[in-house]
Amino acid sequence: MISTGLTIRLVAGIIGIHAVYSGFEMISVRERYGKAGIMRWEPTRLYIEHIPGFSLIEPLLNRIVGVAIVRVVVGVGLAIAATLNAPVLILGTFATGLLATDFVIVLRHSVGLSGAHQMSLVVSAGLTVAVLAPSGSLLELAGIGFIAAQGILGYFISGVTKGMGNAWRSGDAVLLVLSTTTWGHPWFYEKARSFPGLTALASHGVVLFEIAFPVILLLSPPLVAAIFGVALAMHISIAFAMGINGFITSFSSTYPAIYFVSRQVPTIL
Amino acid sequence: MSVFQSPQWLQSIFTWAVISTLTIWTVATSTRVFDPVRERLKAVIGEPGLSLIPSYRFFAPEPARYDFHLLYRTKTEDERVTDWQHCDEFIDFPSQLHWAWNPQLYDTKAMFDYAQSLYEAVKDEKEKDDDAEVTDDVSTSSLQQIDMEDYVVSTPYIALLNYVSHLPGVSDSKEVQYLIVRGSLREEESKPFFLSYFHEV
Repeated sequence: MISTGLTIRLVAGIIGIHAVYSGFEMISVRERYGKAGIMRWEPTRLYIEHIPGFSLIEPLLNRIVGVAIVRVVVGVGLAIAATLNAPVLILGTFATGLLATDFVIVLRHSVGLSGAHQMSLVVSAGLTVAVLAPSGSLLELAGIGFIAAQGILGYFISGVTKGMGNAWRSGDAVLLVLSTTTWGHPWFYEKARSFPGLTALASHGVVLFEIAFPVILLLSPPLVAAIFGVALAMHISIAFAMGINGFITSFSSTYPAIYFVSRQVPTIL
Repeated sequence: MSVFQSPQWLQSIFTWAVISTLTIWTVATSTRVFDPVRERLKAVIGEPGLSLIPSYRFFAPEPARYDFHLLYRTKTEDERVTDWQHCDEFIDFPSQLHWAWNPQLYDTKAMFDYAQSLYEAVKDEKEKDDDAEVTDDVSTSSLQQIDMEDYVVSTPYIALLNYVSHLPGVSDSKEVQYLIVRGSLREEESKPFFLSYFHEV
């Protein structure tokens, strides 16, 4: 059995690490947000200026590099606070700070973000609730449950929608993705073309694995760990082949919560 | 240890308000995958609001199968039009460390998202015209003209125009125009699908 306290600290530690490197990635090419950048503020403003309270958050949206710097600081603080088992007020402050930066970053980018940022947003929301809630309370469980639900949905919805696509059902999807230079690589494409059976197996395997992922709640701890291992291997493969690196830490930050919920299921059943 | 020190009844209301919010957030995440639900949500909370609800349709139902390339050309004061030039920064192959460190992903994804948005717009306009045929010709003169009034004031159109307008050498020109082509390693030639107007720099 894993305690709520340990679950929360593990989630906080992993999402803190995610915040640090994703923040550094944003800062490292800050020209993209400048006058000549592909994500200059003025065009993006057209997309968002109609939302309620826009004038209140515009100063933050317009200073996205500053928000990214805060994100790095908050991420470092969160990871350290989680490791050192810091008081709830400190952990809660960093979790709230991370939620705020996630909120601003997702709103600011009409384009350019991967699903890792969306996952980070919901994880930091659930984490903030769980950290600030009274220990052992319903609210604490709700925060952890929310993170677990989002983690499971991240796989399940992706699998079901893939299953509705012709290219995934025919087994061509992985080859098609790898045939782009945006998401693939010539070397991987040539290898994939050389082994069409393996490529089709990868397409079908991803769909089946993702659809079956919710079953994890019913499995024993060793099997749960094995499923996490397969999922991590999938994310690392995607990072190598496609360059989408943020999924490794953003999705794995939900694993402690999923594991916690999976240990509660037998007692409920 | 709780950070909340408030009356019991207030804590109960707060607890259930938070739980309701998380539940609604989860239900919205589960259902936004369906187009009618997504459109309804978009109508209620707007597109920026919708971005706060995760979309877990990664490369589904149909996977990305094309690269989008941005090209531009300029018109000089004496009305001479230059050759098309390629914006290479969006197609640079990632480094060997891109599995761990890939800041360029934001730019390539942004280009992809802008182009995809304009591609969908072009497709919608073509569907309005039953007689229209998608061209396979790579010459820009074969592009079909569509009504672009709605798109020239859109974020994707302006963002790309802003980008090419600030490229080295363009600021000395009178006007600039951009072209988006799509292609993949499966095809020998890329195909144009979106040509902007000429705009003053």
